Amino acid sequence: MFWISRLGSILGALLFCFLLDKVTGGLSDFSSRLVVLAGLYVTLSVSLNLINGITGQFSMGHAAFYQVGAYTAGYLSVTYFSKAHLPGFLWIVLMMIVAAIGAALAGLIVGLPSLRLKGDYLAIVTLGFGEIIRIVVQNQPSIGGAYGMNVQPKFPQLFASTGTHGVWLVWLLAILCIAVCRNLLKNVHGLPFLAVREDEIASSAMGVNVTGVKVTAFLIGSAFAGAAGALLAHYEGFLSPTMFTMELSFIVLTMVVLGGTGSITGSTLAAIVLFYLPEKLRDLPPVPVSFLVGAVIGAVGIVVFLKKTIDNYHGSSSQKTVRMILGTATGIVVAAALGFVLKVIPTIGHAAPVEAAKLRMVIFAVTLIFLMLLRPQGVFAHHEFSWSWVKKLLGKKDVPTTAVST
Amino acid sequence: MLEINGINVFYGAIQALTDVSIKVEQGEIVSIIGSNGAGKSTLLRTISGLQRPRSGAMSFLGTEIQDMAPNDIVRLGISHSPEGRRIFTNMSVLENLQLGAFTRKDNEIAQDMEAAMDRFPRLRERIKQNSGTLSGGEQQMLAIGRAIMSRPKLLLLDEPSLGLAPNLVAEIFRIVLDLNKDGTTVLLVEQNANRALEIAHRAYVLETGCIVLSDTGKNLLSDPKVKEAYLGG
Ligand SMILES: Nc1ncnc2c1ncn2[C@@H]1O[C@H](COP(=O)(O)OP(=O)(O)OP(=O)(O)O)[C@@H](O)[C@H]1O
Ligand SMILES: [Mg+2]
Repeated sequence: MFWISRLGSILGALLFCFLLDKVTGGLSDFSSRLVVLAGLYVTLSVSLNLINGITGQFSMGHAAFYQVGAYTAGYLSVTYFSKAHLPGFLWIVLMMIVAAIGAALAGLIVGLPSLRLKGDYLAIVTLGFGEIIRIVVQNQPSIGGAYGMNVQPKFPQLFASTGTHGVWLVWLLAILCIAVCRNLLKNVHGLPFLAVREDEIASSAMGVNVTGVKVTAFLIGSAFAGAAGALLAHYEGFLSPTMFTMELSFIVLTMVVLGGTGSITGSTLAAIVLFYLPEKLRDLPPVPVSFLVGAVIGAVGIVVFLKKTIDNYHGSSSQKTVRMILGTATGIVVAAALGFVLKVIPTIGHAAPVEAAKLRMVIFAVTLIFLMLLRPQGVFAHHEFSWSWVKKLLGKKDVPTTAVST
Repeated sequence: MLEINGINVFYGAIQALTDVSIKVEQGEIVSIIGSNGAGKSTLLRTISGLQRPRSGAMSFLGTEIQDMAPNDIVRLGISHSPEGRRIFTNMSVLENLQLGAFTRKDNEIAQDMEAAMDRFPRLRERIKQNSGTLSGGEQQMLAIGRAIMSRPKLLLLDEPSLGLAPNLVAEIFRIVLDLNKDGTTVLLVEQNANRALEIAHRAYVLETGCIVLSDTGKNLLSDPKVKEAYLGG
């Protein structure tokens, strides 16, 4: 039974990746690019979640592992691919493995101080490490320095013989990363990771090798980021230090926190949503200034109202939800009404419409603030998607087992 | 079984234990009493490897343990139920017990899990419950249950009766006696000196990091100095 369901999952994953590859093959370059990058972000976010969420270490330098993997693979491909005479897709798999090992070594170097440092201090060390890696690369002419480096061969050449576009491999890596983390959690062997997050002293008293657990988390987490880097290198065909700035580390960290630190489901979905959201916002039509002002006032009102409801309303949770939905709806109506009313004021009414697309990062940031105010524990908190959870939602009343978690 | 020879333990510049030597023989209950800050918890933490002695020697069943990592010490057969219970409050009762058996690879874990739940029926009823929602007494039972899941030869208990109602205190001490009867050697740290001396074969009195008295539990119970300082006159 166990093996049947396990086999089912594997086949399902392969089928999903294959179909995704077929579908994206027919998409425009831009759209299929988004699918590839989303897959890479899922890998980054889920692998960082292993370090930060599941094991409770505050690492802020995930871009560095991505970069180490990308440059390792990029450099080796440029230097050795033509001499190796390997089929393209075997070569890329080999590069992923080598990049994973390279990044894992970097992870080991960062993981070692984590044995002594906690919380903020570890965050600063990992942040610094990320910058060091980027600046070292920037000053290495042999790998392109600040100008960047062209990577050959690219995806089309690598996957030509397979008749696919390579999208499948990107998502297969993401799914593998999810599967590894999920198995770690589900298994009794995963308990030590959660135990270390909760209480290091009690964990050691139970015989958990706290040092070993932390280093393992860094090793696995950075290895996956490195493998993703190898894919990035060959997909883009170009690498430059500007692709691996602190900003990238922050975005990935945001995905983990927003999804709910520790929840694999959360970091997967947050990676997809947070990656697509800014891209989709590019398509927004121009907005009259009056509506923009209305929207800002409405948004502030909604946040204040929701926060109050969450903190002070003691009715049942369904009543609370109804109130929150009604409150939000009212806020939107008020915002729209304000938009019309404010048009009367000449300076606002006659101003040229604003390109909302230019405001996309602002909208993005505001969305984040919203979510963090309303649900500081992240959308999924510690919860995971599971079929029993779906059954429960569909009305089969079941005794909640781990309902409380903060 | 456990032999500690002249250990000195420091926190930075503060000396918490000075030249402490104690012995625990197979099958005994040994109690350590002392006032707040005397260094009782420090002594247990040092034995289980959570704290390093600056000097001195410790051996358990003939193995030198003063330089060992905590996880290796657990594997040798010492289990520590730390001060303040420190159960994993975001995990279920079952997961806490599984973590207790973390170092074991044998196939009798399930059987011991049953035995632990027989010993603590309240835990059986709440096996899937999030352990943060247990009452204080239940949490203490879980802390002890978790500690015995590693099948320790020597069990270190740090203030198991702290903050419990009198009937629960009695129950905890009864459980300690039971565990001892079933073959576990116990090193017990307690504020509740009366009960700790009653059930102990032998006991030590710790004062500001030094052992000042050691005798059988019975003798210490009637010792005038102990009476005055720890048994309320
Ligand atoms: N982590 C630490 N850092 C610095 N000093 C410490 C630390 N832990 C304990 N101490 C000091 O060491 C001394 C002994 O502490 P310990 O916790 O061993 O006392 P105790 O006998 O268990 O007291 P209590 O009965 O209150 O639990 C105290 O003076 C305490 O302040
Ligand atoms: Mg203490």
